[in-house]
Amino acid sequence: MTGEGAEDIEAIEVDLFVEALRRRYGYDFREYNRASLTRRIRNLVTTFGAGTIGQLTDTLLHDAARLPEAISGLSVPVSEFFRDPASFACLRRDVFPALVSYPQVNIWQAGCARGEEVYSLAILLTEAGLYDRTRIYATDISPDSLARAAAGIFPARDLRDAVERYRSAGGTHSLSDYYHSRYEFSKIDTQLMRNITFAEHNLVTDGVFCEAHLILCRNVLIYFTNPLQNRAIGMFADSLVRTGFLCLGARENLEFSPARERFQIVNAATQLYRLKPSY
Amino acid sequence: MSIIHDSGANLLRLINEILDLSKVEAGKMELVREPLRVADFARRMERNFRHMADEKGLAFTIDVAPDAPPVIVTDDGKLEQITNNLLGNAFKFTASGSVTVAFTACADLAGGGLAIEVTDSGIGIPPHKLDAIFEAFEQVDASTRRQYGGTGLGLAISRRLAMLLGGDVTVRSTEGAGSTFRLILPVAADAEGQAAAREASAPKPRTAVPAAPPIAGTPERPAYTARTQPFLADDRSLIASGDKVVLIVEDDAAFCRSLMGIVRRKGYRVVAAGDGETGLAFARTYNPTGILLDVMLPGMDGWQVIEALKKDPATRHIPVHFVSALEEAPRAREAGAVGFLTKPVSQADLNGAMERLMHFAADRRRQVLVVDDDPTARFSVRKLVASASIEIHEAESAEDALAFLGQHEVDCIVLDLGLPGMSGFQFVEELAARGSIVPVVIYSARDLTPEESLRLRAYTDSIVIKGARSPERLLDEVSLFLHSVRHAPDAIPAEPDGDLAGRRLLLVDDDMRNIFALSKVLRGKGINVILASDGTKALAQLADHPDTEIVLMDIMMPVMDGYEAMGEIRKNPAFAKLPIIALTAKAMTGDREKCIAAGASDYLSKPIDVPKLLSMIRVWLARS
Repeated sequence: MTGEGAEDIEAIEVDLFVEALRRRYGYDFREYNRASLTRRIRNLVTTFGAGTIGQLTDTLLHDAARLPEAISGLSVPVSEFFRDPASFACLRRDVFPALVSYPQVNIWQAGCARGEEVYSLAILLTEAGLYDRTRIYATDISPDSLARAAAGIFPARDLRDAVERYRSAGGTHSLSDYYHSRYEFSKIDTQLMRNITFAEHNLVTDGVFCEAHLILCRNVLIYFTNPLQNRAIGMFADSLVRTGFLCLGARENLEFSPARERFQIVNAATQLYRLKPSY
Repeated sequence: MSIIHDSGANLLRLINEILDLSKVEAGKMELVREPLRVADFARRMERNFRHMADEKGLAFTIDVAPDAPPVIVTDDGKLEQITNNLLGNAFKFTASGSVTVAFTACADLAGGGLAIEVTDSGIGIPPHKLDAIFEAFEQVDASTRRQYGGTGLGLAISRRLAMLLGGDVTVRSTEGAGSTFRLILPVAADAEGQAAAREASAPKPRTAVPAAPPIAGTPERPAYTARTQPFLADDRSLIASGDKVVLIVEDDAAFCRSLMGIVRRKGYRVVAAGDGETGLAFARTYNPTGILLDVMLPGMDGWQVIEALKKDPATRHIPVHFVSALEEAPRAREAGAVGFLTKPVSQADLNGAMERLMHFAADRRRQVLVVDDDPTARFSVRKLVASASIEIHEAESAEDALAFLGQHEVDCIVLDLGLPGMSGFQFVEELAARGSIVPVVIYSARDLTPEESLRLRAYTDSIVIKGARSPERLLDEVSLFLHSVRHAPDAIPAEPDGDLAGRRLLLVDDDMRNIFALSKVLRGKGINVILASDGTKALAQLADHPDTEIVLMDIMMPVMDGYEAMGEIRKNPAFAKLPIIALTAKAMTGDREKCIAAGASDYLSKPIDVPKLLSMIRVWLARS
């Protein structure tokens, strides 16, 4: 068996795995970036103790109870508090003042993973005096990630490490005002959780569900192929109020999206866009 | 090198011109006759040749005499080919002095004509050559050709084209002093042929009409048979740039005359057409501010006229008001008219019709009503919003504002909520009850509770809280409305269909746009709609309104989601059979089953297809 042949088998297995998840459960990973998806499927093979991707597919086809674990492994749970502090500083400076003119503010964090960025945002909104009138929809494809995010419990180290970034993001209090620590874990203050709605939402299959003044979708689109990126961006544009804001990850941009002309760029460095009013 | 290039280009031009000429002579040249505004054509000539005049240092003037017909029906492209040739020659053979063009009336042609005279101060033509100059390959002599170039075919083609258009080209010249070429054209193609053609095609007047054999209108561009002799003495020759024109299409001369009087008294120029075809042609030519249109017309009727107007991007924006003997207002509205009057009409009716026409005209000033009890606040909005194209009116109470709206049409209302007497909330509810479609921007000095913004959001989606950055957003919101109300409203609310009127519906959704859009549609059907923005509030609403007949339930909501809310509702035996339609953005396998399992009677995915929703509501409200 040549190396090339081995690759072929893996490609077939990945295809079958994707097809199985789609037809059995409706999760559609066909338009995910194939290289990174394959990497994560390989990791799943290890965590599931399966010998091959084929065996992993077999397990998932017959044991629905293990699906959430697989979805969690396939989605992108990596983040940290105040990741890309410049981006948060930009929200605080350029976006918050514009949000003040709305009686109620809806923010959609698409792909919230375990919630680090959602809570970071809630902290800055609190300090800007905006949180009372804000509703944050934090959505993710993975029910496991959502459950962990909603619990609001993180390794204490995660918050300790975030102090510097919190400062660069423009934080004005002490980060420790927002959590209680016991043993090696920190629990986010319930006050900070009160206006956050965690909900399952799949950018591949689901539609617009809210009217948002600000949408954050950072480091999610890079895992999608172009058609899927375009679908998601179109849905963001449809969800935003006139002149609403969209914030992408630092390595993402709208340049090649058909929806590009619906947006104007506010800050290129932090990939902050604003929906143009359509007359 | 340049000589070779020039010769090549010359040869090519010669071949093209020979082909043209042979086409004309074989009767194969196709004409497309359309109304052409003479002033526009004159401007185009100016544009085409000004640079040449400047380059050669020649004076170049174009004069349109007051008696020149303002519009002729002809083939624009062919006409331009002729005038380009005449002007090209004039510039070519003139080294110093001037080239002038004069547009005048020409009495030589039956039915009226236009003369275009091109006069130059060039080399002129010797008398014995004057006749031959229109023959193919004739120039004054061979040396002329060497010195001035050209194929010698231009004038031959021009004259044949002019004849094809029903006119002619003639020349007067003094050798050494200059020449005058005179092109004459009929105002319209052969009147007799046209009348016959119109009669023959009366039921289907939009088909192409052959002007005169062997010429045929090309099928892709339907030629309109249009009368250009004034149906009544109207203002078409008086129209100056900046004048606003109202077009009246009405075959009853006496009635048309009285309409003209009213329009003129309002300061507009009038153009009148006695039949639909002419009306349509005039709409394109004069780009009127508004059109008063009769339904019963000879040939093309009013319905066909408005249909053609709305189909054509060039005329789509022009507001149309019907004046007719038959009452057919709903059909008129459907066709895109801004209003409908039934004859006989009073002076007041016509004034109202004119106001409506002007209200929907694209170039009129937009009217904004600012409702605020604080004069300083009104002043600051005025300062922010007022401009040359926006007129501000002020009202210091909701009562005043309603009185003003009873008398005037406005495009947008900027509303403060804290008013003496009737509150801002009551005001928007009262507006909706009156069937008003005027957009409202709330400009509030204080924060709103979620309940308050929910209550408002059923009527408006523009709420601006005053603050440092709010003037910017207020301006955004207002200009958005002022720009988007270019045309008459396409959906007319109120007028309940009847079958759903009075039914009681609870709409549960946290997406304010859905609340706004759906409640508008449902209220338009006469349904009593109550609202809730999450599951907990829905339960509270049901407790307060146990007579609710149907629930529309969003799924993804804060505090208590739709699944949980439906479960809670079903726990109460009184609501065990209450129809609940789940509305969801989720489309994954099993989502439908999940809704039904949670207690939904039916399921509709977002974005909501309104006709589908309505028929679903009908099904569930039908009593078995």
